[in-house]
Amino acid sequence: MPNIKLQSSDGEVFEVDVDIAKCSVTIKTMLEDLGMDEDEEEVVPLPNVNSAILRKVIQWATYHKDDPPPPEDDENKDKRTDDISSWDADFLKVDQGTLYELILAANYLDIKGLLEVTCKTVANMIKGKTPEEVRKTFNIKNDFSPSEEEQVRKENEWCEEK
Amino acid sequence: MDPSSKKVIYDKLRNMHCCYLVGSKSIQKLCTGDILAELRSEFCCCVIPRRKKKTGRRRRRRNEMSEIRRHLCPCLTVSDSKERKVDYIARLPIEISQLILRKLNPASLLLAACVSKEWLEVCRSDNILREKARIHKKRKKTWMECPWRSEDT
Repeated sequence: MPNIKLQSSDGEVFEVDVDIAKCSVTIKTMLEDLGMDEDEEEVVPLPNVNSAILRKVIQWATYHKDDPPPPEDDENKDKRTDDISSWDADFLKVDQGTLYELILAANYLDIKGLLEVTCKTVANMIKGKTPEEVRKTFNIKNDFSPSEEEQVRKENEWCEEK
Repeated sequence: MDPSSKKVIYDKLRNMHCCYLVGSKSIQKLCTGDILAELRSEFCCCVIPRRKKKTGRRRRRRNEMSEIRRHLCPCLTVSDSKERKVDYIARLPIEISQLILRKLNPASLLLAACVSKEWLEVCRSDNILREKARIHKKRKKTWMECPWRSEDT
């Protein structure tokens, strides 16, 4: 199977099966628009992804290469977050900084499946927690005064605007 | 920060029709320590966004802020991957923050809006989130006023 070379922001070059690389819509479009797959010497530069993160992304894409394409606009897409496979759950047992960079990379490379599962992971970290517990989890400073917070909690006026 | 990232940030800042004071709160939320000091020395003369009219100012500022976040984030995160805790909702591009919050059940969403001003603004900025919260609020109100509701349920 043909391979292509991907170069991370810190200059490391990864040789990857074209089919695996194409799970990134960004790379797929790049290859199609530029007709790059004919030339074996071509290296695709990915200036927004460092080598540690790119390695993880490739690992994820390799495992998921035979997945069926995600359904478009699935109504239940936003509702469930408990359907993360055990492989993905293990894969995403990383520190918060790495998870953050993985989300940015999935967004930049336009890999829907990876973006979906990383966002679910963050949502699960928020679910069922009080605001104080959420602040503790992510080290967030409470910039509301007690009365402001009380007002937001009680009135929720933010959602009234249609 | 390497020179190419700096250039990217600089170009983005210049291309937007407004500049920001690098010492402003929002930028401080984005970057920490050394990066902030470097940015400050680099863009020492940036100013608060230009405003034409008073109407719609808040929304526009919010959009500009999310724009700046979108462009700055990939460059600013290069050096802090070892961070143990990350305020995802405040730091990710706003459309991803919205995507995450949309995955919450309504009760958790209403609580998430109380976490900080930044989280509240992200909730407010998305009509799907607003609608979800509105429906939940209405249901809760109906339930509370329901005459058959027994006290111990």
